[in-house]
Amino acid sequence: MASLSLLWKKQSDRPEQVKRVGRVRPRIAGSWGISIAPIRDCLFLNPETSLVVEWEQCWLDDQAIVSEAQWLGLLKAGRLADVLGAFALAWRQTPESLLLATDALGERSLFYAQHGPGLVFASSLELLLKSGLFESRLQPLALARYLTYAYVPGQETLFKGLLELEPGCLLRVSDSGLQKTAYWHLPGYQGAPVKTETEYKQDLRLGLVRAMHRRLPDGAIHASLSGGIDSSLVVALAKQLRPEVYTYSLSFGDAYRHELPFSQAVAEHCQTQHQVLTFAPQEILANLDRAMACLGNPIGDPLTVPNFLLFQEVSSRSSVLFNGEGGDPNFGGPKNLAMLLADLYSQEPEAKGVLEQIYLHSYRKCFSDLAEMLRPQLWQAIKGQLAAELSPWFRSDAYDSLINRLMAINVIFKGSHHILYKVNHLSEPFGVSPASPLFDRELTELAFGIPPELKLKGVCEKYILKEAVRDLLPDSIIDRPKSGMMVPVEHWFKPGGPLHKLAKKRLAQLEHWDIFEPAYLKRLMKWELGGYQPRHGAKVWILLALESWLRAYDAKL
Amino acid sequence: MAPFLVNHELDKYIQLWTYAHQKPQSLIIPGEKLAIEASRLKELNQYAVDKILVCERPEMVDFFVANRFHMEQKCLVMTAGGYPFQETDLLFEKLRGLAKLAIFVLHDASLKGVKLPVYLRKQAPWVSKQAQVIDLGLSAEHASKLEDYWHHQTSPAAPDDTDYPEWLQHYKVHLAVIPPLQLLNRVGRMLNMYAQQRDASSSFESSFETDDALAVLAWSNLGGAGDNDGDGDFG
Repeated sequence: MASLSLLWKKQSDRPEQVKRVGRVRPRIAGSWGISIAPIRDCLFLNPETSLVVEWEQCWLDDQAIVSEAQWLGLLKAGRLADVLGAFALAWRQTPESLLLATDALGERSLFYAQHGPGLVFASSLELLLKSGLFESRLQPLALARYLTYAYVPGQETLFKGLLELEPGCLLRVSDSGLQKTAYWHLPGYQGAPVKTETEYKQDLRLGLVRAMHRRLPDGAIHASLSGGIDSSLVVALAKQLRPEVYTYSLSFGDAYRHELPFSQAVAEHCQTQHQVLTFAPQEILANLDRAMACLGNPIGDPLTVPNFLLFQEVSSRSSVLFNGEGGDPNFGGPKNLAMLLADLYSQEPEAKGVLEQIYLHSYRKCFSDLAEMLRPQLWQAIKGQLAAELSPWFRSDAYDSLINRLMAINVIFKGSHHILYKVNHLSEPFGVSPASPLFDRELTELAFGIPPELKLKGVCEKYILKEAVRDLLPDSIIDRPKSGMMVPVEHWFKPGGPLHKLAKKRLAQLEHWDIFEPAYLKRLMKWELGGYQPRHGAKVWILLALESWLRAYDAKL
Repeated sequence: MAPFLVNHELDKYIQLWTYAHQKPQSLIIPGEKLAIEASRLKELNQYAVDKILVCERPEMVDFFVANRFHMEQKCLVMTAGGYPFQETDLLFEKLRGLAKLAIFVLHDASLKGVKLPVYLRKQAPWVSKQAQVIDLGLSAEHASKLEDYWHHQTSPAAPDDTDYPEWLQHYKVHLAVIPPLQLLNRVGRMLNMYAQQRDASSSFESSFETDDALAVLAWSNLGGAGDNDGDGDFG
């Protein structure tokens, strides 16, 4: 894994404006300049291929891609859409044009911005800003999206003018401007099943094993293990493939609700070397700044810091850490039934924006609070615009059921911009590669071909996924209800909680940015928001993460 | 007896408020029955719920739905007759087929109200024999702790009501005496307790219907902000 930062200028421009970025070894070839900041693998523009590519476990036609020459060959053959695995690349296709691309699901990131007649791009926002060519001005609508989703979906970043290349897209840069096209689409699903349930189950099992194989490191496998079905099945499959498996669970202390008995049961069943990492609340908050500085776009998921610390812990033992991310978006996770019910109770679900509003509520973050949370002028500027990017998905003809539309949105939005984005950026500083076999592209394509009623069957979520691995795990793990890895933020931040005073102090710093209504912040910290399930703790965390991020990036409104 | 604000008086105050300011944003307007379109019925038929909150009166259903209780708890909310759904045939057929359905019942402490769980257990056409009906109250026991809120029954006792406590022949306690936030939180907690116990114990069905429901709704202090715990997004 590496980071790259490049500045490309049009043929007619002189290259002297090229900035050196980070640990840079700039190369200037002809009319365009490239600066690269290697983190682990050294990635330099190859003068012969005019290509820079960073990749991890990429495959074409069941063959591992191991050289830049292979990349050049497949690019020239127009076969980028057939590549499986994580990658980000820039290719000077002709002397007059440059092509940028990332993998289909968002395992790697590329950010870019136009600067005069040129284009600057990098694998992190930090590097892009370090070019010195852009101001770190906040984009208000993206800010509201962050508060709504706890991540930043779509092509926007929190900075004005700086964009993220969406997964599965090509950006072609030439004298005629920028042209973005999708080289990959999520498969649609219409009509009746074409196979029996047993056949779907067998296909899925095979797909899971192939996804694991594509990510196998040399030697032992290391994997996070929450005790939920997704991480448990990854561990069980790992044990089938390697005799030596190390597993890691997170704990925040016995005083809080946890899933350790389940992860312990899976570890014993699969005979792994199991370790529980316990984090005190103070340790989590103390590492917030470090974690947020890695992220580019902020993520307001309380698991961000524990994930970061886990990568740090594992980095001395392995260069790959498996996880169970992706099971929910691909196989009918817990958002679906709630959305179906909300849809059922809508007076006019077909009316413009109704389902979109419900979806935004389903994140259970700050969407309902935005009007009183944000400064009035800020709220007026973005009011009514949050749902627009969702509408094409809810109106898509590619799917004939709400379940499949939701799955598509969850894969594209949450999968790409939260789940994969998070593990990619948090692991990078430690030189660890995150392996997310349940978010394997081939497996995602396979999952979208499975009838929705085999994903959410009755009230059973992820039914077909569970059945595909039933022989590998105890029924008590397979059939347990979804719990999710709980970070006890309600207990930590409530008045009298161990982090209340610290959080209050930090949130008071938000007044510097003139984004939030001080009265709202005071009510939040007094635990007086009111309403059903106000989720004070989750909102405090989202704002703490933002405050940390604002400082790290010296962002201005 | 505490003074009651009857509906037409409340409507008058709301009109005054609306005249002076504007219509309150979160005001719950009695809902029209929902006509579920064929496409949504098809989706409903493919999936299922494992719990329903049955409310005695439509305005209670409107209240829970307006607060997205159905979404938070992944449950249906309706009256025994199927409100707010206009077409109930397919819905009822679906519900009849759900053997492991837990039906939570919420009603006034009144003769009519306390009969509702009995009706659901014995007569409701959409309840399967295997479904579990859990009476959340208000019961006679609850009412005894809410004496300031009693008011007179408006209908006379029927002959088969003799098994009910004497005071129910004369008085009732309206569910609306419970502050809205407490009602949401405590019913929500009830459903969560049910799910946890069901997952933890196979003998749950025989043991749950004891004092658990009473413990949830029988409180002496009606003040306070309620319970605020919540988890993360749906995944």
